Amino acid sequence: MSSYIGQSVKRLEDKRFLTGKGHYTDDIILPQQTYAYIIRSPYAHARIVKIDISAAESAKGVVAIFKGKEIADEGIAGVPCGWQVDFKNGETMKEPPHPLLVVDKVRHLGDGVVVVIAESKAEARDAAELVEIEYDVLEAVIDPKKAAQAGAPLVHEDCPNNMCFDWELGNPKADVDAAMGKAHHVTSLEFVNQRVIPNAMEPRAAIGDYQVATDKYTLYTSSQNPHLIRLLMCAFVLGIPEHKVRVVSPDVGGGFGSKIFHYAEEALMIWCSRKLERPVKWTSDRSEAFLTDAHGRDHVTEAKMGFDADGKIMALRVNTYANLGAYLSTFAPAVPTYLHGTLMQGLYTTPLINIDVTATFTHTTAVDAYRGAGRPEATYLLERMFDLAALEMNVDPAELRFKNFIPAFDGVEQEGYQTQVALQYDSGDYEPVLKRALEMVGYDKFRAEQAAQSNGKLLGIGFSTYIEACGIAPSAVVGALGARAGLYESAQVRVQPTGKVSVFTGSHSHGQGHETTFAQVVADKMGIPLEDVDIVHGDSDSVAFGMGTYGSRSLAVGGSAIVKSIEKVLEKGAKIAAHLLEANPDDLDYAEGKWTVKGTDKSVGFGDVSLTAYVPHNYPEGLEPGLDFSSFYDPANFTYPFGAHIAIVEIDKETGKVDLKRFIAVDDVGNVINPMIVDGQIHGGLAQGIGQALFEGAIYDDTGQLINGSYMDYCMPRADDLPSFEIDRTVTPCPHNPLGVKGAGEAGCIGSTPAVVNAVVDALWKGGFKVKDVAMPMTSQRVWTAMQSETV
Amino acid sequence: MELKGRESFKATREQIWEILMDTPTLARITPGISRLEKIGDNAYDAIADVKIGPVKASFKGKLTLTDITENDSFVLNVTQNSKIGNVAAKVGLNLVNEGLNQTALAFEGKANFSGTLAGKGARILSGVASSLTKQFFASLAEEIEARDFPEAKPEITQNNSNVNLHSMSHEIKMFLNGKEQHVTVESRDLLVDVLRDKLRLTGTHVGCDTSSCGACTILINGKAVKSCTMLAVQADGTTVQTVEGLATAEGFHPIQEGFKEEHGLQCGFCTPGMMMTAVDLLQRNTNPSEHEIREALEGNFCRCTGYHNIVRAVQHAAAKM
Repeated sequence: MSSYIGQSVKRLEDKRFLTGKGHYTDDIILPQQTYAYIIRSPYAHARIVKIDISAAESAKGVVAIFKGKEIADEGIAGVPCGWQVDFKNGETMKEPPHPLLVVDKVRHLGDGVVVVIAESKAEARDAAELVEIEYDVLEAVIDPKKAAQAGAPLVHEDCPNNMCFDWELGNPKADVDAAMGKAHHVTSLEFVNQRVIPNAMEPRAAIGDYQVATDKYTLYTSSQNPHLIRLLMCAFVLGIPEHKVRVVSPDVGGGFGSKIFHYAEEALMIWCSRKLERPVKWTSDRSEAFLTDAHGRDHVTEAKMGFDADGKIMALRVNTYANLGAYLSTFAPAVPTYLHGTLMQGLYTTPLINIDVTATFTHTTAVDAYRGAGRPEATYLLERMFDLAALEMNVDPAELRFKNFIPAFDGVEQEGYQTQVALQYDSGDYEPVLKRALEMVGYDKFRAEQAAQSNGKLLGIGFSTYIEACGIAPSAVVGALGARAGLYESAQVRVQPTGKVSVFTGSHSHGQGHETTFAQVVADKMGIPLEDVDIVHGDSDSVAFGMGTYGSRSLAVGGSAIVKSIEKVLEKGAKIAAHLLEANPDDLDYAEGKWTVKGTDKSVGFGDVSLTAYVPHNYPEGLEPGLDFSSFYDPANFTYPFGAHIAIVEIDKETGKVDLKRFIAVDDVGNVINPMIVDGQIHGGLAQGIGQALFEGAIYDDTGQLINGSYMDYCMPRADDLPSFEIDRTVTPCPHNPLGVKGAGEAGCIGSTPAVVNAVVDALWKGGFKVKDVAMPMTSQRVWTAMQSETV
Repeated sequence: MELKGRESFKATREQIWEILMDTPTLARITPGISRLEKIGDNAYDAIADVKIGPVKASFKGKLTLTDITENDSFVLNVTQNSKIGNVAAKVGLNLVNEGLNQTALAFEGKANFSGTLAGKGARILSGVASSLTKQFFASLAEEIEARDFPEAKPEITQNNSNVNLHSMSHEIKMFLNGKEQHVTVESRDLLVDVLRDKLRLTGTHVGCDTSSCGACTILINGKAVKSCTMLAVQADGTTVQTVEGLATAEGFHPIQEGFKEEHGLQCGFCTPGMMMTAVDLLQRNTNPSEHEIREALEGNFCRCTGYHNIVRAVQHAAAKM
């Protein structure tokens, strides 16, 4: 049988999507279904003076109207946070309630106030127009740094200075500062890693369906994480019994982090359905998505990097204000801390590092994990500092990196690399990725071309060599860091009597192609045809448990759980085969779907063994019938993919327009099961990272209005904004999981952003403009303005 | 010669139908008609004087109406003889509801000429036809104004005090994915909602509310249209193709093949709209460059693929088509 692992097998899930037969949440219409419309606050901060629903109540088609008070009166406080980060002084972080609908005060534009439920979508909207809400508008604070200043308006009365927590990691500040004082050169940079909006193409949707006859609840939701949603909703929000609740995440149209979290609307739909004893559906429109999907990034950072005379880094000192928005989203506290601070080592041997993070509440939409989550912010910081230091010290930015790379280690013969910021890298070989990227770009030739450029355009090149912590994550480690859940994964491999295999995974696919990649792993390891494998995911009634898909964890953790179950199946299968062959299990080899007695041609096939397991007439004594195993895999460590990205830009001197001419990415994501799918993941990540550099960014005015909250205003990359990408990879296997994989979902997004900014700054500097930084997104206006400043 | 035209009038379908079926009025407003006489059910004798180039000719003959659906459509069959030749024409006329008090009169058909008339050249003949059409439409508009029809009012629902401006329903007819499809819609229904919620063709998606994302793109009369930007009533009488109509019994459409082979999709949400836009492009340009593909797709967002493999998918399809 041919080997599937390593092959670009065409995706098994494609047919339904290509024929319009995908099954997304909004495609579902249940019998007796009603439609919810949520009236949201038009202000960022206001007291609710009066809500008048009388006219709306009698409008055509209205089934019910609920306000926050009715929910609060039942003792429901709201959605919880799944990660706890304590203050430096040991006090618990501030965790203000996040109600399903607010009771007396709105805290961000789009905060839910009233839910109107009607027989049709249109009638719900019509009736919502008749609800009158009187607000007393209050002053708002938007900026995470200003929020911490004395006198800033408070988001929550019991959170002084809007502080959620402060946090520190690494070496003592005094040691870092002392080293910085002795540095030959210190590069400093203050910057904003701007807020971006995930914008999965499928807007979120949820249907709550309570069946009074069976006392069972079903939640259909556009989520990356159905089991965790069920746990949080049952145990911490509604207090309903988990075994009576089914959560289904059918086909999901992209997530990028924004669909990891337990959202108020999910619990609200279940609560409403229980009240009405009818299904209630809510589908976000895009404007609503802009206001209610958790946003990403939004850090204000000051950093200093000290170098010795040879260009070796001596110390790194970082101070970040992280904007958490108005409420704590599920994983929010982890993002600026354990997914950001812990990455400050980068690929470099920096001996002294200190990072200080202050996380504040503001009158804005909640901020949480968005593709990369903390790691793009860390990479942006390090890689901007590197190119800037190279520019200031007048050395080549690639050379400066080679000088500082951690030497290669495989995690087997050589130990993992212990960083100054808690993590221990599993395996890494960093020089080859940058060497390969330089080769692809034709670096020497490029510099000559750049020097000769004379067409009114400025050419620039920018670098980024990144590392990320993926395969999230060892439960004990994250537990110690504040996670309120384990981060293992489950898998059940059920061999049917005829030898066909159903696999139930706790990972959730929303574009990643698990139904193909996982099937390749199963078919390969079991030696059966690909078409004999079916991957089931996204339904808590079918799948035992799951921790969902995010943090590039599906294959490294979920795939490993599948491998564990396969091993159990084959071990038991060998006992049955040995019985049938009248041999000792130890004397059997398993290959290509059959067990063979070593050194003979006596063999029995997988199908015969599976049938025997379910029709156990001639069967080993004492062995249970059946061939069906579950496993939970808890990883030993994070995985650490890395890579080198290079951007080449051309700037129009007259308009400041940046044209991304080329983008080269060489990534190392460990072993690769399906190269086609991995390449696709890299492409998509690159587009999002480049999007942040050049186009995207949420713009709030001082009153907290999101002034670019639609596709007319928020600039997402379109097909004609991007070039075709040039990508390649090296392979450094992960030493601690059975597939040797590291994860590829976030790599493109983590590495690409600083490469583009570095390229623009390089183009401007080499073009004679004394510009060391351009704020993202680097619009024509910003670049043009930068060119009006001093020349070198 | 092909005959084709469409014009909107401020009247309901019923009101225009009334004029078209009123013989004396029709004779008056139709240019050149000097006599129109009803000789039977849906059959008329007609004499028309028409100037064709320098020649003024008098035509004599018969008009018959067939395939009549009241207030909606009929087929007009014309046989006219004159000294300079004969005309035989068959033209379908359709009244298309374009909203409250707004109706389009659309016609499409063929005319054949014989005798010296046939030698007059297509340009002259079609010039005459278009000028007669123009005159007819103008006279019809005048007639509508002169009749001062009462304006159709939106239905008012009685069960509450709010005037519901939206409940007027219309039956529309589309040629949808190869089949005739009748559906009753409200005036305000968007085409995408009717496709998804009423007809349960959920392959067409809604990704935004500003007509910016392209997830709802379908083909109307062969052209890519964002179905969230169109009222369902506007689709009356059109040919509509959605993603569900791409594949045939023989298998995938080349664009579906391209997306599969080149991994042009991940989550699949933008894919139907993206493919319909690509089909529109490939109909216009069978061998587009990468730049042309990227330009053509710039009305469709994809958040998963970075567009890289979508470009390859379209190239793959172009090579096959």
